[in-house]
Amino acid sequence: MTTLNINEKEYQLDLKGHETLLEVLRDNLGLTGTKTACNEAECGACTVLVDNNSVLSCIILAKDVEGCSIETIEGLSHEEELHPIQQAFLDNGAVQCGFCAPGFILSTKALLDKNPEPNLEEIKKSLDGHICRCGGYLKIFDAVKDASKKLNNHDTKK
Amino acid sequence: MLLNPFNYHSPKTLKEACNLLDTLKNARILSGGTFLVNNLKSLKRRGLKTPDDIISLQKIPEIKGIQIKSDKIMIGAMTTLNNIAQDKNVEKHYPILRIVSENIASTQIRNMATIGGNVACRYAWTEFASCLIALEATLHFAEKKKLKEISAESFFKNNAKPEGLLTSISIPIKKDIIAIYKRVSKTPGVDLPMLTVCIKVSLKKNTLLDVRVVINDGASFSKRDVSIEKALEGSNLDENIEGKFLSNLNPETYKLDNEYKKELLRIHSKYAIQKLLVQINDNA
Repeated sequence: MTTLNINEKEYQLDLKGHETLLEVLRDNLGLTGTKTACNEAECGACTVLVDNNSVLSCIILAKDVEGCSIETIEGLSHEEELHPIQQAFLDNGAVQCGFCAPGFILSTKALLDKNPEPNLEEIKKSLDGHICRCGGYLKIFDAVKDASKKLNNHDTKK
Repeated sequence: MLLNPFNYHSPKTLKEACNLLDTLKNARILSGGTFLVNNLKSLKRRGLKTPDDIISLQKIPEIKGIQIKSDKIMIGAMTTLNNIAQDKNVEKHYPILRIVSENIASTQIRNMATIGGNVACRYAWTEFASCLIALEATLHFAEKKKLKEISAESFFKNNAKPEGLLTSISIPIKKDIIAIYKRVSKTPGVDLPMLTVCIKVSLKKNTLLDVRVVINDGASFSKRDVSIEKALEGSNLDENIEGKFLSNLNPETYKLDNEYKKELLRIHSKYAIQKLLVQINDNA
């Protein structure tokens, strides 16, 4: 049996070894927030966080991340309350068709965890693995800046 | 199902991995997976045979990480590109390694891809090749009963026959080294390089020594340009270094199939040598 730690919950799975993390998340566990698009590591729609680093679940074998902490878009919100990054994406109109959004949001989280106040260049660099076919990049960059403010305020309130 | 079934092996130690590799001769080695897993998908799509055994190196801690050992910087083969880009020792001794890493693919790929995979796949355009040859790196391999070393320069040759498992890459730490890297790709975003130029010199009393100039034309392995190296070796900074460099550059010796690419090499070599001279000035 393979044990995967996803969104701080442990899942026991019977895996043969050739399953990608993307397939396991969507097909075995029903966590369909992680999207399948190009399937060849070009678009970033399948991005998840493994030990707080953004990676592409379509080219990771699920067995290779046994023992790591995996985070998907489902792990961000607390019940009905959205995560500040999700809220910032909505507030800034950064979500159009929404297909690329889970990936963008997780990469934003990885960025802001390491660098709470990134400049535009740093934002662009850390989102370079994502494609938005609606072309909403400028709104997305605005959303990341807003999310950075929201999170910093959130931290100071605490 | 994205991949055809295979036997998945996940050794915990280097020894175990070498033994597995010895018994399973046709197994493919999985490091970061960014080349291999895509390659497996493509084989499946085209209805070609896929490997029966995959040996994943993800769970072997001894070949991960960066260490300083006496006068060498040792980079474990399973160190990811972003780990290299963010390492303090790399930044202190060879910031050029950070520059090379940061130019490769996208953030997610750099979080997964390893320097070992990048080197051991031996694609002609492999980004690290030029820089590792210029920095006089040594590649360390392990087999079931022996350890082997080969210089990066001889590894990236058509007649090299690499065997065993790449475990680490060592680069000698020397003082007064200045190295620059110039990369050209078709688009400014995530793209493969068409051309890379790497120049390394060690500067002593305003004289250029140990000059290495390595050029990759995107179609064949990175190689040293010996005629430029000879021309620059021992030159004083008062001389016309840029002129010497450019008059000895011969685009005909590279696999550049049209005038546009030859001109590209001339222009970017010029940028590269100018960048080197600026950096020498800045350091002074």
